[in-house]
Parts: sequence; C-alpha cells; structure tokens
Amino acid sequence: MKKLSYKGRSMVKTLRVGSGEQVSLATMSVYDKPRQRGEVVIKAVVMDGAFLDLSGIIKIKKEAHLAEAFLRQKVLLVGDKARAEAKPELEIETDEVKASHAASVGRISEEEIFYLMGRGFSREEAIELIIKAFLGEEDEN
Amino acid sequence: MSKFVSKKVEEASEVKKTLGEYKYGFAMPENNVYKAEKGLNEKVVEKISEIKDESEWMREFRKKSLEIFYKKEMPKWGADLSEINFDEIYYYVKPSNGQEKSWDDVPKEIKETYDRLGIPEAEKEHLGGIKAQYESEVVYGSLMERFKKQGIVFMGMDEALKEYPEMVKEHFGKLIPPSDNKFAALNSAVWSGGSFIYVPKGVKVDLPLQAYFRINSPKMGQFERTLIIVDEGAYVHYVEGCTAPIYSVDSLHSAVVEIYVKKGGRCRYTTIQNWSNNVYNLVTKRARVEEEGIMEWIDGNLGSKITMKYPAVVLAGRKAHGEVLSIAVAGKGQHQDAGGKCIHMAPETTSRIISKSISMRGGRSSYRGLINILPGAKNSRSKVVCDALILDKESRSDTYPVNKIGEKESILEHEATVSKIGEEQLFYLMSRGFSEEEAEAMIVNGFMEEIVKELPMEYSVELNRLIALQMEGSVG
Amino acid sequence: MLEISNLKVKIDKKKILLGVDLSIASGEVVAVMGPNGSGKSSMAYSLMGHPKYEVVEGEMKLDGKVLNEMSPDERANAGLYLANQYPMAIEGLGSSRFLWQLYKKRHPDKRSSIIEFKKWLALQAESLGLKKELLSRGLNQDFSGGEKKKMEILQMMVFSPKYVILDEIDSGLDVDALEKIAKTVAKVAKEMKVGVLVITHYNRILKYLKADKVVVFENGVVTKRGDAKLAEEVENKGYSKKEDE
Repeated sequence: MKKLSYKGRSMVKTLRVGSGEQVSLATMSVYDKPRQRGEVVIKAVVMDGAFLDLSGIIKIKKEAHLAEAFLRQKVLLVGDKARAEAKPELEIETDEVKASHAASVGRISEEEIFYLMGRGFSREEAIELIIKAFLGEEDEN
Repeated sequence: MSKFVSKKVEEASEVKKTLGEYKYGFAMPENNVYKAEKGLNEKVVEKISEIKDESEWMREFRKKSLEIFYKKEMPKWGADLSEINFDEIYYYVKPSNGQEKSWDDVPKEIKETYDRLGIPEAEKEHLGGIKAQYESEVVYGSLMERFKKQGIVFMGMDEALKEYPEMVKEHFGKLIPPSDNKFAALNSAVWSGGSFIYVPKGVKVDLPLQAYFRINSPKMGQFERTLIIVDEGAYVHYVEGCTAPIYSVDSLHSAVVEIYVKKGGRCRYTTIQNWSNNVYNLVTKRARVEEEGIMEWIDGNLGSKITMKYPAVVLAGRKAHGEVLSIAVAGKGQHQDAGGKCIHMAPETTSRIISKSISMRGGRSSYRGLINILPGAKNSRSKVVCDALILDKESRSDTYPVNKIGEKESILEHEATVSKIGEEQLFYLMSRGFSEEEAEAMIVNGFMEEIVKELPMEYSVELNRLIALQMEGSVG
Repeated sequence: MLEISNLKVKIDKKKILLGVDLSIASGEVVAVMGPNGSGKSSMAYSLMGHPKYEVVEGEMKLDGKVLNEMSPDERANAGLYLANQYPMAIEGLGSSRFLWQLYKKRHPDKRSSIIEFKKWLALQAESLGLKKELLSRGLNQDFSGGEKKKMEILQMMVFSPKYVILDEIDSGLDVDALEKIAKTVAKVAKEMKVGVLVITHYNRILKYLKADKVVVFENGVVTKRGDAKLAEEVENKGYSKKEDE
C-alpha cells in the first residue's frame, strides 16, 4: 500500500491509482488562529483492481474563529474491480465558522463515452479524455 | 406521547386501582421479599430467565451472550464510556412501581420543563418515574381485537417468546448476534421487555403502533429487545419514546432492535429519546430489507449524557431502499454520537441519510456514518447530508463518515456543512420585531424542519417547544 | 417624524457616514439617491440597528423616541420597517407560517382567524404578482431576486409600519413588478400616512412612487436637496461634487 499524506489548509491533489495499485491518501487541515481560510480538493481516478483509501480531516480549534474551511473529495471509479473508501471528517470546536465537505464517488457516464466515440475516438481514447478532463477540471465553486 | 391517550390512561389507571389489581410485565413471585441485586453475573442472568419462566433455548442464549460480553472489549471509538461501572448497575427488575422514589428526587430542571410544556399532573409523575403506567384492557382492548382479526401480532417481547416461539427463534439474534458488539452482548444476556410485531402479507397497519399500546408495559425498559417482522407487501409504523424528558435512575440503557422487511414491505420506526442527563444510551438497531422493500429510521436524540446509536439498513434485495433521518441536540454535558449505516448488497438499491444536529452550551454532537456499496450492487445510489449548527463557542460538532465503494456502477454523494446561526439571518428576523431568542428559535426550527415534518404531529409540536426551552438557557 | 441628525457611522473601523441630516414626515415620500458606496444602504442598516454598524455620533428619532440604543426588534416594534436589498433566506421556515406569526406579533389585539388571514394574504400576494406556491416554501428559499423583493413588500403589508425604508427595491425588478410594488407603496403611504424613505439609483421607481423630497448622497453626506425635479436632473447629469448648502 502506497501511503501519501499531506498537511495543509489549501491544496489540490489529483492522482491516478493504476491497475492493481493500492494507495492511501490522507490530508489533514488544522485551523488554529482566527480568520484562516482554506480549501482542499482531491480528485482521483481508480483503475482496474485498484483500491484508494482517501481520508481527509478538517480540525477547527477553539481559537480559530471566523475560519472558512472546505474539503472536496471526488473519485471516479474507472476499472472493473476498482474500489475506494472516502472518509471526510470534520472536528469543529467553535461556532463562528463556515465549514463544509463533500465527497462523491461515481463512474464515467456511458453517455459521455458514447458521445466521444461518436466523434471518432475509440473507447479507450474516450475514457482517457474524460479522465484527463476530470483531473484537470476547474472546480465549479 | 399523545395527550388524548394519556388522559384515557389516567382514567383507566384510576379504574384499575379501585379494582385492586395490576400487572407489571411478568409474574411477580408471591413472596415479594427478594432484594434488588446489583452487578452482573451468571446467577443474575439465570434468575432473570427463571423469573420469566423461559425455555431452555433462551436461557442458554442468555448465558452464552454473557460469556461473549465478558470477552468483548469496549469500543475504541465513539463517546467516552470510561465511567460506566458495570458492577453498580441493576440488571433485573427491582420491586415494581418505584416506591422508593419520591417526587422530590426528580431533578428540578425536569420538573420545570414539564411545567413549561404544560404536561398534566398524573403524566408528570409517570414521566418522572414515580408511578408505573398501567394500561387498561378497556381502552386498548378494542384496538387489539381489530389487530387480531387482521392477523397482526403486537405484544411484549416476553409474551411473544411464549406465544410465537418458532417465529421468534427464527429471527431473534440473527440480525444482531450477541457477538456484534459488547452492548449487543449485554442486551442479549439481560434483555427484558420491548415489542414484538408481526404484520402479515399485504396488511397495512393504519395507525402508528406505540410502545405503550402494549398491555402492561413499563415506560421504557433498560434493556429492551424489539423484533419486528413485516411480511411481503405489508406496512407498519412503530413509534417509541416521547419528547418530554424522562427521569431514570438507571444509568445504562442498552436496547437492541431487529427488523425484517420482506419483499415489497415497508417499515417506519420513529424514536424520540429524551433521557435525563445521567443516562448512557447505547443502542444497536438494524433492519434487513429484501427486494423492493423500504425501511425508514427516524431518530430523535435529545437527552441522555451519552448516546451512541447508528440505525443501520442492510439492503439485501434488488431495489431495496433505506433511509435514516436523524436529529441530535446536544446541550450542556451531553455527547450525542449518532448517525446511520447503509449497506448495499444488491443492485439498484438506494439509500439516504439526513442528519441534523445542534450543539449548544458546551454540548458535543458527532455524526458517525457508514455507506458501504459492495461489489455487485450495480446501479446503486446513496446520498448523505449532514448539517450541524453550533450555537456558541463552547460547543462542538464532528463528522466521521466512512464511504466505501466497491462497485463502480454506483454513485455516492456525501455533503456536510457546519455553521452557526447567521448574524444576517438573526438581524433580518429581529428587524421584523422578533426578539433575539424568538429569532434564534425560528432559525433552529427551520433548520430541523425537513426531519421534524416526518414526525407524528404531537411530537413535532413538542419537539420545537422543547428545543426553544433548551435554547433559552443559552442566550444572553 | 423619522429624524436623523448629524449621523456619523463606522463599519469595520471605516467611517462611512460623516454627518447625515434627514427627516421623513408621516405620509411623506423621501427619495435618497447617490452613487455606489455613498453610504445610502449604510444609513438604512444604521437606522434599523444592524450590529455591524457603529454609530459614533448623532441621533436617530422615531416619533420622538431615540433609536440609538434600541435593538433591531425594539425599533421594529416602534414601527420601523426595512425592505432589504438582499433579503435573507431562512431554510425550513415556512413563508405562510412566518407571516402569520408576524401578523400576530404586530397586531396582538386583532382577532382574525388563520383562515381569514390566509385568504387576505393570497389576495395581497396576487396583487403583487407573487405566485401562490411560494407561500408554502421556506422564507425566501430559492426565490428569485424579484420574488424576494415582492416578499419584502408582502411582509410590509402584514407588518403595517409607520415608516418604511426601501433599500434599492428596484434593482433586479422588471418593469411590471416595479410598477406593482411602487404603486402599492404609494397607496400605503397616502392612505395609512406611512413615511417612506426610498433608496434608489434610478429614476424609474419615482415615476410611480412620487417623491415629495429628493436628497443626494455622496461620500457619506447629503450633498443636494430638492424636490422631484432634482431626481430627473441627477438622472440626466449624473452625480457631481458637493454644493454649498
């Protein structure tokens, strides 16, 4: 199991978990002073037979008034036996905060693949295009 | 608790007293001389089984469960349970109707809350744990007659063990075996009371079944065991608990609820818990849903010192659907550790968890959830929304979700937000003439509305008032 | 009379109002115009007692009562109503239910039943062009900008104020809605002798809601005073430097 771990309030991480790989990616964001802001965005694609363990913690301490903290974990399961675990956690100890997290796990839509194939791309090429777009996506916030 | 029902019960209990008889759940020994015994051991477990005159099978089940209880470790996660002293607890019935307790023992805050909620005298004493409740066959007799004609079985668990031994044995402890967790093992060893419900194929029970409809039920047992079986195409809504705070001398409550929803059936289980602040409330609830069945857990956690409760739905058949709607209010000295679990084992299954929690005056509210979409559960969808409101700087909110997806042909979404009451929202309502307290209460009610509107009417009204009262202490 | 004398206000330690003098009599319509950042909305919020606005000097009086130390709800109870520029949405708080509570609070002596109230409410909503379905939604929940403004006016009608502040009610409204709202307010001002403070950028609303006085704000003070003609002038020529009074 490949272990990746990051500390920080703001970051964007994208990764591909290749065929058969096992990866764990953990992020830890700590807010300990007033008026801190941060956004963590994780986007991952999981291929055949691979496994991704994604954990992300936002800890907002008592002193961190007016914190604004966001965490987004987006996972695309591409491979057949792909598996993922997403654990976004929040621990909030004061009231004047805005904090939210979102995690979503899904698959590539067949409609999208069909559309690109209709433009002359092979299935593999279409999937690759979609993956690239997903990982390189501007966040819609 | 319905005001209509409680008035009838008041009348009925007067009738009963003049007739000079009462029943309390199971037969009391004629020489009522034994003393209540503290602590847990094999003798205690055997005594419970003996008093209830149970079959060999159940006695052995209890004894094995006790062994498992000893072996199992305390959970390494969740709330702080280090102060539970298993040796100081009474595990079986004390002499009934609480003669040792007096109205003076009931905590002042609880008495005040009853006044503010406008609860009638007799009901107050009952809720305060002073008087046991005596159901009347006169009031509920006709209801039970109707049920009997439809083939609906609704009785206490103790009774069901005697009247439907096969059905019970087939299901009891199968969904939640004693080995599931330490407190399930405890319950399996010392359980007493709880409901048994069986709804036959195609029968839709047209009114919510409430725990105290059962003849001879104590208000809320420490170690209740409930088993509900909804046959194909049937429907039942079961309601337990009440919003008014219940004072309990028993500091450990550990219930187990097992529910089977067969093909195309539907079950809704509503709980509102408001135990006094000395209670540890550790509950294991699980439902198994077959093809096209629906299970809805509606879970309100208002009271107790610590609650750990994660209603679970196992979606075992195609197109099964599960929901957990959870409200948790954590005030001073409270930790509500609640949430839900949905396990998708079959294709096209769907689940939804909505959790709304409020922390105030130093309380702590934690959401703990699990969504597990197993390989093969193709085209399943799950959505989890947890929103938390923290009302002041002393309070705390946590979210610990686990989302496991092993099936790529599925979709899972999880969102959580934590916020406080917005200054702009407060100003807006105050500028319309509402005081700060009124405005706060309106915002909090709005926050919970999505779930509160699923509650039976009398609950939702009381719930809103109760929360407003709790908040009054927190403002200014 | 709603009186503002020498009002000086700070927000986030920044001076935003530098000595405003203004008065609105019962039944009078006073228009306040000015460029962005001139302090118009700040005055509205200060009048209503928004916690972020700190009054450093000066006085606000409503019918002789000094507002300065009053909380927002106390000012509302005194008869002041603010139609917000950005009305808040309160999730889960049913609009219809809220309006009933508002009604009961403002008119404790009236004896209408909830059914009568709802009927009256439906009529008012219709006259404002507010769709009936919105009343069963949460307050301003997912309302469009225009719908929120209409809801502000509907609330005003339930509230029955003595003085109304319209904070840029015309922004985001189509011509039709603007006309309906303006005419409604004009009627209320005339018939119920309600003093109206209209804060606006543009002339449009003043076509239907005739101003008795027009006042121009610039950089936190009043720079020009006049009658309805001043509004046209401003519209045509834009805002200019402060003139000596």
